[in-house]
Amino acid sequence: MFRVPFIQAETSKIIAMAKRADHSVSFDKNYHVTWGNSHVTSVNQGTEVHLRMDKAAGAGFESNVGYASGYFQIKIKLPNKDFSGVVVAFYLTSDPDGKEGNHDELDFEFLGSNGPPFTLQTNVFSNDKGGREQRFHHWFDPTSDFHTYGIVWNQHQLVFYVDKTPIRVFKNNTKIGVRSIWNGETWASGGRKIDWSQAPFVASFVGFGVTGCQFQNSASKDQCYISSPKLWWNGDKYLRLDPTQRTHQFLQCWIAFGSVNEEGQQQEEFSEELLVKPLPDHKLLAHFHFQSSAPPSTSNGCHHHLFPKAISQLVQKFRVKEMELSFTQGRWNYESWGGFDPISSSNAKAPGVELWAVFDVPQHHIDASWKNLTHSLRSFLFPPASGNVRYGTLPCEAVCTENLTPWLKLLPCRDKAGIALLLDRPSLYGGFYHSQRLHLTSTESSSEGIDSGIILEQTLTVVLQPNSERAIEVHASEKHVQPSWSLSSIFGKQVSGRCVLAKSSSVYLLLDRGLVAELKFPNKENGKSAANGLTSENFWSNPSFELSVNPDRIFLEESSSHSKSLSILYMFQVEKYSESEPFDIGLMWKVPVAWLCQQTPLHASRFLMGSGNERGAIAISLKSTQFTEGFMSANSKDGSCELRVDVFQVVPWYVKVYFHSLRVFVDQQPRAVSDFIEKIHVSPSKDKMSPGVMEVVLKLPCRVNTAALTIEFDKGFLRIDEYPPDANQGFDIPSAIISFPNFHASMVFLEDDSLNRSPLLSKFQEKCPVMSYTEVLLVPLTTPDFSMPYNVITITCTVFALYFGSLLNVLQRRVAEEERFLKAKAAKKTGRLPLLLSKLSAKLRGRRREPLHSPPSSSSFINSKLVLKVILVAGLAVGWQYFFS
Amino acid sequence: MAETKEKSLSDEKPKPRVRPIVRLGIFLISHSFLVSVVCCTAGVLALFLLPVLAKNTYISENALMPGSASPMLSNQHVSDGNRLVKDLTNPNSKSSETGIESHKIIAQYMLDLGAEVSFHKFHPQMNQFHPLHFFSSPVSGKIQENYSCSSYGINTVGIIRAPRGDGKEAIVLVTPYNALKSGFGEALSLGIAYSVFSLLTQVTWLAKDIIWLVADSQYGEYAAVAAWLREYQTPKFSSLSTPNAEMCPDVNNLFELKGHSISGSKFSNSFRRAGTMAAALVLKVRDQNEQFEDTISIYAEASNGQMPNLDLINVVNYLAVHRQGLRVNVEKLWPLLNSSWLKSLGEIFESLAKVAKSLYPKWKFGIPATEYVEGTATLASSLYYQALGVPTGPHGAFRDYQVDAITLEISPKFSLDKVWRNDILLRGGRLIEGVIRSVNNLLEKFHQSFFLYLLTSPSKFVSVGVYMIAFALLIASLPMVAASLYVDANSSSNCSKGDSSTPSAITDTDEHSIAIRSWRWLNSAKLVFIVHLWGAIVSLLPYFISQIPDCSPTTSFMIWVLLSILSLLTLNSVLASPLACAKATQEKEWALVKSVTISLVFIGLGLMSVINFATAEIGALLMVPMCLLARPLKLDVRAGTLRSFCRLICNLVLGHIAFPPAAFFLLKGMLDGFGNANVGDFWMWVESLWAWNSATYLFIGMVQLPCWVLCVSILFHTC
Repeated sequence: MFRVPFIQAETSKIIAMAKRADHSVSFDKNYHVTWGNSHVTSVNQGTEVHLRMDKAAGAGFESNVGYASGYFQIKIKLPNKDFSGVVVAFYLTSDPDGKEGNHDELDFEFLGSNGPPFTLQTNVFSNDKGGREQRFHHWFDPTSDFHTYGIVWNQHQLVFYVDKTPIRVFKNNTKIGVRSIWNGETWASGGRKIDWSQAPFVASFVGFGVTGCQFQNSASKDQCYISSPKLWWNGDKYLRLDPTQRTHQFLQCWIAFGSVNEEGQQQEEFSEELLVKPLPDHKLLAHFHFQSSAPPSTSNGCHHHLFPKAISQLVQKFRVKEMELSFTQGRWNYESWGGFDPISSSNAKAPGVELWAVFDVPQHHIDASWKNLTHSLRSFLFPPASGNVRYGTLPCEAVCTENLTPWLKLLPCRDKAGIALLLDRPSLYGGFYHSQRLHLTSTESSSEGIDSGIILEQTLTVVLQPNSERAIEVHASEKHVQPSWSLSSIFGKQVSGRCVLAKSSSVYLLLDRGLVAELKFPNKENGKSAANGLTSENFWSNPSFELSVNPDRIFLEESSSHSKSLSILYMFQVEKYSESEPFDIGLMWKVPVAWLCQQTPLHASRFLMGSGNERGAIAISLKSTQFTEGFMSANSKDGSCELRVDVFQVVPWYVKVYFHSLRVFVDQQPRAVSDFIEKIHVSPSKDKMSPGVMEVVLKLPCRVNTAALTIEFDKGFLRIDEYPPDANQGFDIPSAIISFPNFHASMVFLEDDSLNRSPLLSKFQEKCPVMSYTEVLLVPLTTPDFSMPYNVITITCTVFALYFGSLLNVLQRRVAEEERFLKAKAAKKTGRLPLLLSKLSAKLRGRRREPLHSPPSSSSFINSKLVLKVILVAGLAVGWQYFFS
Repeated sequence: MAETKEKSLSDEKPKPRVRPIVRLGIFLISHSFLVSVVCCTAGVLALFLLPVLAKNTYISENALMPGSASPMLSNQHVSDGNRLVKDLTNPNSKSSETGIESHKIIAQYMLDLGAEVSFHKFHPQMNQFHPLHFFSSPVSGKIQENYSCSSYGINTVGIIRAPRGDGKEAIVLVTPYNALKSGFGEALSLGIAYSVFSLLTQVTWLAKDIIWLVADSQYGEYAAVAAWLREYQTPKFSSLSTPNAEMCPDVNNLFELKGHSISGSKFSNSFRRAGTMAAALVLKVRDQNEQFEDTISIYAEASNGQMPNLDLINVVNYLAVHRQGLRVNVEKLWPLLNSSWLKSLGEIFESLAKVAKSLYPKWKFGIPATEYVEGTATLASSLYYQALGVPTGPHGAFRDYQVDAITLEISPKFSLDKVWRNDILLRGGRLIEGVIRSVNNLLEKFHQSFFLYLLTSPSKFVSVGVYMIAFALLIASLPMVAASLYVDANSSSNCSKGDSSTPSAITDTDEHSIAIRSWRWLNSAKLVFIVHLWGAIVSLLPYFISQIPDCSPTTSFMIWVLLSILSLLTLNSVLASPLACAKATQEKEWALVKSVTISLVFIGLGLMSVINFATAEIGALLMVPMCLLARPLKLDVRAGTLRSFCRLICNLVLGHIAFPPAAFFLLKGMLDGFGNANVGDFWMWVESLWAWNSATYLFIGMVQLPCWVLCVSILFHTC
């Protein structure tokens, strides 16, 4: 149901005034769309607006400002077909968010019908009490032409007008405003089914002029109730009911168009879901899906009941349209865990951290926003991609419990209740793969950026080994029996009821297509009848396995083009269980089953080529998997069949990629790049600034067996301070993303009303292209000997000293001067110290001192007698030591 | 001499002050004879001192932590391994001619463990002589047209993915296995590897992927490993239309395995990879048992004397000795062990050390004489194998891709009956497990410890800082002698002229002749250049000779010798006749030639010491005395003194020894006995050197042989 009108019983100065509803006033002047932006079309230069409603959503708009009194009218034309169950409304409300408890509301509701008579229902709410419905039948056909519906509101009375005909009058008994006038009862639509085959339903609105006293603050609210020429609706004429008078407008308007099912859209919601899926290699996939959504709010999004405030602030501050942050440990095994289902293509990530975001800010602000966002996420600064999308990865990040705790804080029940109770750290981190993801979408971000609804999706995907005991594997006969498991055996915990804040809480067990085909359900041969036989018992008491809990519902997948067999989904409602009777689903295998998961069209692997510390090459090799062959051949009937593959590769700047060296090999033949690459976008790396990004769109023939891309690189030299502390490990090249836009990994389950409520299943229905991540590569880079700086400093200093010393020497030296100096020196007496030395040496030699003429020639350094004497003394000392010690 | 010149000048004007460094240089040059004798003696002595100076090894990288975890390999795994050994040695499995059955068995065993298995087919690629590819990285193999279906090998590769790892790194375990005629040892090595493998599929502590390569060794262990590595590191994406291995019926047979396995996705015929290789271990078990103890031999030398990181050897040594109680063995030169002169040298060192210790108790450098002899034998073999530049095992292939690798060869004590087999499986398995666990602990690649070292025992090493001293001492005298010879040759003619006229006249009138005289060395340089050019031609000749079909090694060698002599004569006649003494004034011609030769030898040795130290060291031992002593025989004969007679003898002896083929036969004779020496052996040896891209070949061709020719030409100088 729609929001209730808003009676802002406060006064203010007058802003808007118009004598009549003016057809020429454009919609944007006084109104804005609040939800369902895509379902609103404005025509005639914005003077006419169509609200469309289909199965997915309706739409609504509201006035830009609030009013304290006035004459409000609008011209409406209803959908001219069978629109039973659909309600078009025009109403005034004091609380468009529905947050305050005691709101007031004035309603025009046009109840849908499949033909005349058309019913108009008016209602008045005061202090949250409604029930004052009055129904009228139109005396004209509201679907064929526009008619004016208006409400005049002053401090004395409220009058509902249809085409200047007052149809209902209320006395305003309170002194001021309409706060506490009425009581009432709840309003209902009549519970008719909507015939969606008639969709979309279009209601048209014109006349967007507003005549009212704008509400500013409560202090000046009395201003809105005085009689003045500007506030003509407060004048005497309008204190009495005068049908002949032209009437005027009123408070804030809220116009909505929707079905009764849309009620949930407008409230904060939380849902928790768990999907469990057995994998072919004796492992088990557990996929937790928590979704919180906050509706668009006019009140700056300050007050949230369930929705994490931090996230909404993040969205508002950085104007994030969409963001995804994932922490992953371990590798997703595309070969045995599959790559063609929604979980693997949107939740299987490369090890490390990945973050991407779409911003809603002008182009030149994006980098700043991105920087701030990454800083506030305490992450790493990643370089820009293109457009307003930014992508960053951190492949070397180790993921541990510390990453899980803040993630859990975003859940309303933390891990204290509900399905999150299963998140037992030791068993989670003991698994083979572990990826936690946070995805947020702000559904609608208007130009002010305030009124936006946010959907926060938190998923945790883990792959676990059900039982680690080797006991089963020992027996050769039972080697291939899948291990039996139960929630308590994998997680060591059980679910005792739901998180009370959650709207829905359910556990699903998915048997994928390959497994279902292998199990051979008894009525599978009947084809379509399998869908009809869904509820029959034999779907869970199968000869090959047994479930410990009976499922509440069973869904069968809608037939898809990719596969012949269909997957089956068992649903368990956690609401039914409690502390005394905890929920613990288990699966017992009775016979050995082996199956294959559906794989990506091409299996991608990436590796480094070459050796040494200087050069190398990155190779991405694509190999066709067995699965796609059948599909390909089916599709290749229409002549030339092409398989499109998108490759996205980020290369850090210290690996200098030569993009010109890109080579393509198809089916082991070197081929010209232009033959297969349809589009390539390259942004080269900037040293120390940004990494290189390469996006390639490949068009391969469907029959392709192998394809390979190689690209050469040089390893750059880093400055010493750019090395990480463990530089000798090498550097990581983040994984490439390979996507297949022709293939969509969606799982559509057979139509059911309640399916729409499950965020997990609606996520599965989304058509997202099949994606896979390649391995992270480790490039060993030349690392300096980190003790080298000391050596280098020493050597450099020596070299400099020698060089500059000799240079200075050469520059300073004057040969003639020197000779003169030498002569003078020879003439003069020698200095005191040399004299002393020569005396000493003369004594030693036992000779008379000779006057020194020149420094002794080099050969006279060694005097054989002197040497002999020294050796003799040393020998004596050694001998002494040797014999007497 | 320089000195006399100085003195004569100093009479006239006050002598300008000479810088101390210049003075020192002049002093050394003037005493070059004494200096060169002292340096050479010290160099040789230092070489013999190296075993004494060797340090104990230690584990430098903290992350390795060998032996800190108790081994998890249990008897369960050993019996698994035993099962495989039994299946492989079972005569039924050998029924197939190509040995495909045993490959299937191995692959099936790997699959049962949950590993990813693939076969790698390769065509054995003979090592080819690429004259210009000596220092380039290994090229991806050329495609040969004449492949036949019978000549391919199959490597079986099993990969365990680390359950929680990111797959960036991998550890490789290699077991060579010849399916056609496998000995019991090979089967046992597979058993050990399998028991470790079966343990590693269950553990949770793996951070790196494990690759187990069963290398098909029917075309040589090295070739199989090298082929796999080539495919791993530099794959060819394009295959030309040569007959592919897929066409051969036997190979298709191999892939029927896929059907057998129930978890078929684990097996694929595409080449599988893991991440960057952190380390590799090659495991072998020797069949015959002559040891008294369970011994494990470590082979570490890779091509061109490259060694793996010392830490890897240390880890193996530590675990083998202190945990598994195995004796660790490094290759020794056995003949040296019994040489009495070495023993007496050791005793001298020992007694000297005793004396020194008594003088000052802190001087403890002595080692027992027997230990010294063993250390010297190990050091000599270490030097020899490094100098040869040929890898000592399949691990050499890894080193070409900068992966640290060693070969472990286990020699069991007794015949391998049931009990002992289990024992060796358990201990060998635990050793491998421990090493893998240590390497798995590594966060960074091996970088802490030494890459340049010589082993004197498994637990002792000489680092580059120590062994360079011996080499530096040996070649230090070369530049001094060259300088002194040059000065000598210049000044002697200078003095003879100076006597006839006044010094002032020289400076004024004969400036032109001085200029000519100072450039006289160019003449000798030309000669030296020609001879080196000839050396280059000689080292290229084998490439062309090897193209001649059906040539026995002896004839090839003969052709080579003939062509070499022919080319030398041609060069000599074409480019002047430098050997003839044209001008009577240049009676000191030989001194200039010697000077230039010596400087080139110095440069050559210096360069070689960077590329392959051991080659340079051995080359220096041969060439330095020859170069220093070379002097025309005529002069010595003319002098007729005892000293000149001694010199004459020395020159003749050295002239023979330093000739590369002669040196080779001498060494071969010393090692194997002189009985079976054959002329063709040298050709074979040279062939193996170039096949392995050994820089030693280039050194011999471009440095040693020209140097020898020049020295001989000096000896027979007519002036």
